[in-house]
Amino acid sequence: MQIKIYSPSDFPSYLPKLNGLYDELFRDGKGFRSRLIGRIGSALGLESRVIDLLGQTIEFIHNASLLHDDLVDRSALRRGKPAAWTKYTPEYAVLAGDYLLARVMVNLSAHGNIRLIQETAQAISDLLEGEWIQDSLVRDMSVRLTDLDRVHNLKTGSLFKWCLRAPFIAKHRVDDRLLGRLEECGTILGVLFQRSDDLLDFDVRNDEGKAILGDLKSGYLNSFSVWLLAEFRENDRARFERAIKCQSLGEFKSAIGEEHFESRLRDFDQENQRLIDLYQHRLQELQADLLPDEVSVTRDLKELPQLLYWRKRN
Amino acid sequence: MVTTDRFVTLTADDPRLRLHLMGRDGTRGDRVRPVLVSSLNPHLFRSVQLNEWTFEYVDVAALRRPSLMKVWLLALRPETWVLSLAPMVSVLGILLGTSTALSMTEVLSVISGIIALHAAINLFDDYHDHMRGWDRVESHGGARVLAQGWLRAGEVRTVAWTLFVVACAIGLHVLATRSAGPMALVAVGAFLAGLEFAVSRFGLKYRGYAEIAAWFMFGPMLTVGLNWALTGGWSLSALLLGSLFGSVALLAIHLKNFENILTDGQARLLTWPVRAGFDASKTFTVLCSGLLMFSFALVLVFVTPWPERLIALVALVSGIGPLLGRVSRIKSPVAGEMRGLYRGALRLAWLLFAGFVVGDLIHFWGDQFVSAL
Repeated sequence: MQIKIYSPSDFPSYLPKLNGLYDELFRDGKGFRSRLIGRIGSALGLESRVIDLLGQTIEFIHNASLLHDDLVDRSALRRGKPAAWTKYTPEYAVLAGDYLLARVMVNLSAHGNIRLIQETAQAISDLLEGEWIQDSLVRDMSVRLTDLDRVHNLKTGSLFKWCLRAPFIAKHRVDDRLLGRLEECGTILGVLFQRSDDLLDFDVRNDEGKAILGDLKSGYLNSFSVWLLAEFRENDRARFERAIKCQSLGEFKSAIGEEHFESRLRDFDQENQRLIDLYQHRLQELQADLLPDEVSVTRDLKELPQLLYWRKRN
Repeated sequence: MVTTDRFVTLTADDPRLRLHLMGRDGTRGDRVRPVLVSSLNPHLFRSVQLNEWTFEYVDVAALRRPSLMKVWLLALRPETWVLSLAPMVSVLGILLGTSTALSMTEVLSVISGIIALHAAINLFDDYHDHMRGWDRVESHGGARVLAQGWLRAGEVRTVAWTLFVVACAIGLHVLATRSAGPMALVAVGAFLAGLEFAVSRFGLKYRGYAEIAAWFMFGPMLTVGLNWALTGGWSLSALLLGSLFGSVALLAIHLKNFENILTDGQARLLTWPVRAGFDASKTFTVLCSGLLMFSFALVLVFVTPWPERLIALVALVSGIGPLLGRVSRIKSPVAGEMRGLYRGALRLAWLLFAGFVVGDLIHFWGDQFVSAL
């Protein structure tokens, strides 16, 4: 399936700059979510036009959130290039994101699966709720891991949950227990993905070359920061204050101790491996609810946590 | 039942469920403990997965449990005892001040009985929340000693019943020396009210009535009831003290629910803050504080006008000011400022309690000192 999956009817040519903006946005994305949709959809035997619709939907929602996110965070770069709001204008970035979400509703309503529309609306609502709450966490130095997990469930988890559930809903497999299990799996995937992304900020398994300490420098404690600094926040405030003001990773590791960093990284990986084991357990539960011709879906789902967290295939 | 080496999921009708909830799995001995897994999914309460319980088999050595004493202190939650201790002690102080015939044994018995009962209710609260599976979705609430596998449910239940029996024994002893009817009525009423709060058979705790129930239970019911039981009559002083300490409990419970507005809202628990909303809850905190100050003013005016009461006023003002300041600064339900609001309210309660006790002691010793002269 294509990643750049929109048609001329999605973005009228008479609207200035819109096509150019979307061309750049969709060109550089990895399309992980739409590829996931493609694999699950194929395993379920969905028609290719339905798979394309679902893939387009998730990419539209995801990219809409990126357009808005970059503006809200005032991030100058996206995927190594100038963010849309800097290259064009903030107004265009807002309108372009809104337009993508509107196109999602137009295309899904034309498809006619009301349950799918409800599911999508809920996912967008959760995503925005998560964004709203996360914005208040910037410069909040007493945030805890459980708080971040709640936000990430809404923000990141909502789209993963949608990716797992939407193909079944598109197939009219509206079984509450099945969808509930998929929701549990999607929740775990969302947390793992976010925590892995947070590790990149500390140059851990950072093959994609993401900017280092970007979150900390902008006053945001991500999940790994909280994990690293929790005991200093309780017992050694001065060290905590020194650590959060660091401008480089070397300085940061000096402030908290290299050994402490490595030890806490091992603990963090261990805790997330526990979540991966829990995910595999949930997959086993899921198998009991799948029809015989659906069981191959679990093969695709099995390797996901490794991909998302460890960023490698088995 | 679905099991991997590390996890097992049991349905609600699985005969092994109760054993697992009690902290045993029946096959792996005491070295391994089944610990209930909390779901990361905030929508669990809307899901049919509510009828399934997932446990993780954890090596007891890996539980990172603090010392046993610390764990039990966490479980008993002594910081909350002030909510029942303060109103009772204030009434006893009034009665002693009016020279009502009370022996020191009776006074200490009543206080011990109240503490035992309150501690028992705290433990029943944790036990029932665990057995009903609230620990699967709520990352707050209670002492969390069961959720973390630090204690077994059976141990908590045993100690809860033991404390309850102790409280009953003390109560019966006091009954033997006083008019049994009124005291028994008060004791039973207090216990039933406390149990409803903990066990929540009627769900009052999660239907927005917790605050009102707290005002009544920790306020007029305790003070007027105790006064009646010990003197056979009612008194305005007891009522006003009940209103004051009831307002403290009202503020504390409201702040506890406000602190958890996000998680309760996602779990569809209709506490007052969830129903009223974030902004209205902040306003309600100010109103509760106003009620508290007004109640204290009434106590100052109508309850034996000892100047030593001003010590309690200083304690109250010094506690409530910072608390209100914190609430006014809160901008979101996950802000760091939200955390510890309930603890802040309990600190205020202890400050007020200490202010009353110090004032009473100064008054009594002052009188004795003057008499000696």
